[in-house]
Amino acid sequence: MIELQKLTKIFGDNTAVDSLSLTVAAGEFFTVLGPNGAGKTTTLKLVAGLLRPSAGSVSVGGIDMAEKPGRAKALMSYIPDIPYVYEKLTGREFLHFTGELYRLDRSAYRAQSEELLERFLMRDDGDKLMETYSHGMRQKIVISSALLSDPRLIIIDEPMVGLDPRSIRIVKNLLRERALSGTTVLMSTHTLALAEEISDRLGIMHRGKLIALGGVGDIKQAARRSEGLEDVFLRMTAET
Amino acid sequence: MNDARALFFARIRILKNSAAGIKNEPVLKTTFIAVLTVSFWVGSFFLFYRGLSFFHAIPAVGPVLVDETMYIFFAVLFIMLVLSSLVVCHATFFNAQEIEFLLSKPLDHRAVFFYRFVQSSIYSSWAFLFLGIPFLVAYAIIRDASCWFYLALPGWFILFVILPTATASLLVLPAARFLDYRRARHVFIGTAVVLALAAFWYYRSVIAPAAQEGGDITAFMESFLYHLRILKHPLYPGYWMASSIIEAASGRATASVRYFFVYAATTALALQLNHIAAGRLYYRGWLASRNRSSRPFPPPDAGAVNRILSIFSVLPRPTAALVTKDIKTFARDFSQWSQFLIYLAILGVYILNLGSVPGSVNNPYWKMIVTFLNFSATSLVLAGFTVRFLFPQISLEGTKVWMLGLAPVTFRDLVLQKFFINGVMILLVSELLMTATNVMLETSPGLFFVSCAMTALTAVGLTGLAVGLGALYPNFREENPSRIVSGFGGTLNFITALIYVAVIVLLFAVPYFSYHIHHAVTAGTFRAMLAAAWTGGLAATAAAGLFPLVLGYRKLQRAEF
Repeated sequence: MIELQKLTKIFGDNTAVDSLSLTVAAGEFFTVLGPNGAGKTTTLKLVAGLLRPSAGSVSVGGIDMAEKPGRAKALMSYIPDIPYVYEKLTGREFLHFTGELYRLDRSAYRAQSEELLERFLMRDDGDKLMETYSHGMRQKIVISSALLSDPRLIIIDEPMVGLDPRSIRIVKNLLRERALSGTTVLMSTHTLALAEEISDRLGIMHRGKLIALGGVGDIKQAARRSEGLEDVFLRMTAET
Repeated sequence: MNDARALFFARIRILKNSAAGIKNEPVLKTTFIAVLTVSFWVGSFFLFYRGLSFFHAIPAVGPVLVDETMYIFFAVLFIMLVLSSLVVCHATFFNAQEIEFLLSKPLDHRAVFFYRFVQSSIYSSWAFLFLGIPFLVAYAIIRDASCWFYLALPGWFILFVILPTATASLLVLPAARFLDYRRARHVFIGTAVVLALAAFWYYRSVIAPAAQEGGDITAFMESFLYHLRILKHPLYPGYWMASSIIEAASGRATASVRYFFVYAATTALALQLNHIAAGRLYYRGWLASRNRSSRPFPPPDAGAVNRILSIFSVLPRPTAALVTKDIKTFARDFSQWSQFLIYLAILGVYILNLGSVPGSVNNPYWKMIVTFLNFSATSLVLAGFTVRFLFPQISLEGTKVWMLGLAPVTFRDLVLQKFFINGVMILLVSELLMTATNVMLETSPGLFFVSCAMTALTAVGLTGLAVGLGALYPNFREENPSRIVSGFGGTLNFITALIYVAVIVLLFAVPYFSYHIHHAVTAGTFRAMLAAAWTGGLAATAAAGLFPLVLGYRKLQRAEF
């Protein structure tokens, strides 16, 4: 589903992503781990087509992002780390706005909006302006809007920030359900327990490079440690 | 005091760092901006100079008329700055994210308040700098003022803009503290309606009857100015500032300094009152503004408003969604529509004033001057309107632009949607305005048609310019439209819009005045000049409107988020 070939992104003197090559299969739940500034968000934005690569290529569903960005973007939904929304729209209006923007079937997206609002326990707040929402409520609306178009690829950056435990459980279940039904999920997180619990495969990034790749067991084995993922992660990304 | 110093020091560092960034800008771009700014100042200086010279040359009353213009300029400007500051102060004091950060620190709340006060003052009065400098320099030359006048100009400028902000903040602080958001809106609308009715009453009972008294334009102007004496009330701050400048230009330094100190003392008093009010009300007002809650709105497919907005369903679905979103966002944003109301009020006052120009002015010279002045004034108001409301539209997509970047709509669609929807509305409003004012002025059919056609050109040009430059110079990090407009792109839009209007006016005024007034050209030459004016007008509109539009969406397409 995702194919990155020697993907590089340079900002001035800083190489944020350094010749990254990676393949993520359809229906796979892939998590990118890494310390702050490792290049995780930049990688996700490159895949989403929100940044242009300095070198290398991004292909989504066999479509080259540089050549046909519109077609590639039609396959995916992106959920940013900070849930910026239109403050003066209500949550329900925002979901309908998304449905119209993507030209989705009206009755289908309306029904799905209600289902998602219900699932996130937001039904009663759906008609209030989003400027009055908490960070977590905004995040729920943004996640809901990303799921409306039934994308083949979900790119999600730090999904659990600001969510309460119940909502975290809901999001985890939703993402797992989607992955099981064939949707590819590319997620970035600092929450190692979440990555360990939910992912099919992990990649650990450090200074723009992928320094470890595989299942949780594979990475631990590669590090030849019997300790938890957190210790392995800290060891691998330690500054010398 | 130390707190305020720390805040201003940080702001100065930010400005220095931003200024250092200019070095990285292409030389061609900075040179172009510098040339444009200087050209604007020189061009508007000559326009003001010609206008004031014209009044000055009127026998017997000329010099008095020039001084009266100065009184009107400062009187109207003071009111405008207070109104503008009301909206800007509310947004700057209470709605900025920076406030939350600052008030979480152990800072004196008054320091935070004055830090934001200075910003409000700058945001609400930057346009005054652009128009005020050439106007006052033109006035000084006509009045043959001494070099001290020019040296004192910066002092007048700085002093003048503080008092309107101080007055507005004295209204905003208690409003934010004691009125909830919705009640504040009601008070604002109620006050606006009362002021509009009062202005209408004053017009109907005082100015309009006076306008009927004489058909001679000089007598009319004397009468008109006499009835505007309310603007010269000795207790009105605009009068003190105008008097200080007029006395200085006349060489009466003592009188000038006296008025200057009256204004300065009042400003000092207003600042002291602000200091007291800020200590008692600012933090509590900010806390009260946090308690804002949203009443539930009807679901998107129910309610009268949504039914009305469904008329846009004839448009392609993404376009209709964007238009509906823009309208709802605008209507729910107090800082947006309150300034919109101010613009409507300006137009209302303008039309009321036009009604007092006697229709019996049969002199073709005056008739043509009034028609072209009417077109210029209408276009200038529209220029201000497009800069204030259309320029920030792309920027206001702001931090949400990632969503549009991912959606199956291109930035070309987004920019064109904003251009067409706003263009149609601007065209309708401006044509309505031009038709109404032409009827009031009893303009001849030929000039009637030409002024309406010129208006159509400027509506397209000004809309394209504002939307295009808004896309070319977006500020996605800023959510306050006033701050977006006061940045580089907004300033560039303001200058280019004024230059564009001046070009259109000159293109058409030259043939008309040459043929109908000065009889300097034959009918054949006049027709050729008019054809050239149309060609030039279309070219100027294409350059001003379409060129930035194309550059704008191309830049957005290349942008990274």
